[in-house]
Amino acid sequence: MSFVLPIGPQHPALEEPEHFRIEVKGEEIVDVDIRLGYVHRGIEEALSKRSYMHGLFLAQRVCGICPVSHSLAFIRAVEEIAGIECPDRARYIRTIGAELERIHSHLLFAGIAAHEIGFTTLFMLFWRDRELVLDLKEMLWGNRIHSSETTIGGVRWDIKPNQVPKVLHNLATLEKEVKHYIDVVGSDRTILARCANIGILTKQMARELCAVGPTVRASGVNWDIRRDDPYAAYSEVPFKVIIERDGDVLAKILVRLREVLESIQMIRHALDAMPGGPIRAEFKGQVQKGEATGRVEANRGELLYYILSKGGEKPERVRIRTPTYANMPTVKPMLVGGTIAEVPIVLASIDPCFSCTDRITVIDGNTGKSKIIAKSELRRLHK
Amino acid sequence: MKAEQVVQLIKDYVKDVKVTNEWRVTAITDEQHYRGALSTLKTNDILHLSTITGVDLGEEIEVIYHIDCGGPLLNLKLFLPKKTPSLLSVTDIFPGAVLYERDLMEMLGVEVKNHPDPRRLFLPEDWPKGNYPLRKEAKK
Amino acid sequence: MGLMHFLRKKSPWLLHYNTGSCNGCDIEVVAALTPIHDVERFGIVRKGSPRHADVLAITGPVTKQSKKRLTRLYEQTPDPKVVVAIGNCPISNCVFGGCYNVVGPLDRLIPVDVYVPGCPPRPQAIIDGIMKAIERLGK
Repeated sequence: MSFVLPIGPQHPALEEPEHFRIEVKGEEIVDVDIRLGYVHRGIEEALSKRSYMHGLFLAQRVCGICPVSHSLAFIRAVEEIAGIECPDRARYIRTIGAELERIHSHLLFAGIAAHEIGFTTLFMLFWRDRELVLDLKEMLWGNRIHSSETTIGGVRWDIKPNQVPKVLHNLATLEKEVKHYIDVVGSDRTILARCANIGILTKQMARELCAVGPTVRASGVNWDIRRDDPYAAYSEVPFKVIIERDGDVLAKILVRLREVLESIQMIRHALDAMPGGPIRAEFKGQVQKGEATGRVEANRGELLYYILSKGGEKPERVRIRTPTYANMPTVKPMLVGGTIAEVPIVLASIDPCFSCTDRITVIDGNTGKSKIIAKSELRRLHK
Repeated sequence: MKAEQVVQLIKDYVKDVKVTNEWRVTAITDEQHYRGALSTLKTNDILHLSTITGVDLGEEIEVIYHIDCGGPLLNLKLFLPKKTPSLLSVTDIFPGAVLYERDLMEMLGVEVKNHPDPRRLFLPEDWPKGNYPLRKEAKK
Repeated sequence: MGLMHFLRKKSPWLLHYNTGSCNGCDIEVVAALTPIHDVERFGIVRKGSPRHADVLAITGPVTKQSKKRLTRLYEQTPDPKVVVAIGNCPISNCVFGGCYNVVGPLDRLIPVDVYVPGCPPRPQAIIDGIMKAIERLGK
């Protein structure tokens, strides 16, 4: 989620690529239209013109918040077609990388959600704690964001024994803080007022719209690719799939915070149970004819890569379906019937992964007049 | 659901089924039968359409419905003639297909009939009509 | 004029705009705001309106859809102003070079004063780049 701050409400000459057009009657939202394309770069087409190794660097950069997930899904498909078996130790390291990413992403989301309901201090606290994860990424793999630790055939760097104490130390601090945040979120009256019973997605609607991830687990859908279509070391590392029932914004926040605690446990287990051995199988660059579909449970939900190979060093076709793409249709039922003041937090609750504009067009269904409202104005409506 | 059960459910609507392993099933269908296969899955509580992929194979456009069957992932494929690729929307069976079909229309030029909202999805408004970026002959 | 110059150097207002990036740079720009990196101690404040901005911090390789708004933002920001290209994307398109919906790099479309390379650059590098841009503002 980017913080593209608004230009301001009075710019009639500007034709903005607004993402959401919201129709209201009085205070109540009656319709929502979603417009995408702002961040469309043309990646699928580009991937069919690059070798697999080059393509991996591009695939990672579909999203700067979940590059590990994109790498894993892409690699899962490539390794299946090419018949490459990732060594056991590398599978555990991949799991650790993926769970560290989940923690940083969920804390990022929590901070943004806090910001959207006006809790700037809480936003700062979440992002301060998130630095503990980024420090670990930098120590283990040399980069805070695009760490590229996962590669075709395995991982690039081993986790050394002298790095483990720092990992465990940071995780212990995080665990304490997150447990505290869960208490706060579940009991603070203002947070409850702005998040409980807001932006509800029913279980039935979640399934019908084919939505994914914590967004649907918050509505009671018991589904997680790590358990149901396992990859990396997920069939060996025990974990609980976190479910909430109410489907509101509060449930979506709690699912993610509880998943952070679960991820911390998983990393501890993986560090402990990791077998020895090599960390990378050979990949010579050529992939035989075939096709495969790689799926992972990214931070936001099911991420799917379909790859078709006609033999050679470049794929014929790469299809990417990101979790936010799958969750877009849920925005309308979550917003309709609510008020425009809720829009920022309800949009944030699906943890959207695109540069979400801070400007939303609101159309008055009675008069037909439309105006552009800055998100910062919508946040102030609560006061 | 197990892979074998998925195969049993759709056997009347497909030919050439391949069970790669317990997690992956591929089946080939055609324009007359694909909706039957999808409806049967839906009535057996298989609700999740992961996405729809279109591939330009030269003479044909391949359309793949990727369906999560609660365990195995089913890749249900059909092949449309490149000159007039056309099918019926499946949003009446899987409402979640609504965006994927728009994507298929603008990127590969497949005509999806009865789609509730056939607007462009990702491409800019001024992108030339008839230029489908994922077709082999696409001009930049 | 002297006072305005001084004030600008002391409390520059920053407009951050994403032209289609993966968000990696954007989250590091936001991280620069957090207590650990804390760009606000330099008096840098993020503002929404180009009418009050001194520094335009731009990320992304410039998608077709974002180009119009980018050039408008540039035109609406009064002089003196400086443009900081953050990350490899606005500098060279990074991995998106050759993608059909990308029309960058940034200096093909608007003048750029400071380039902060990295994928993404660290918050410290971003702050450094912004400070260098502010020094140019005064000149």
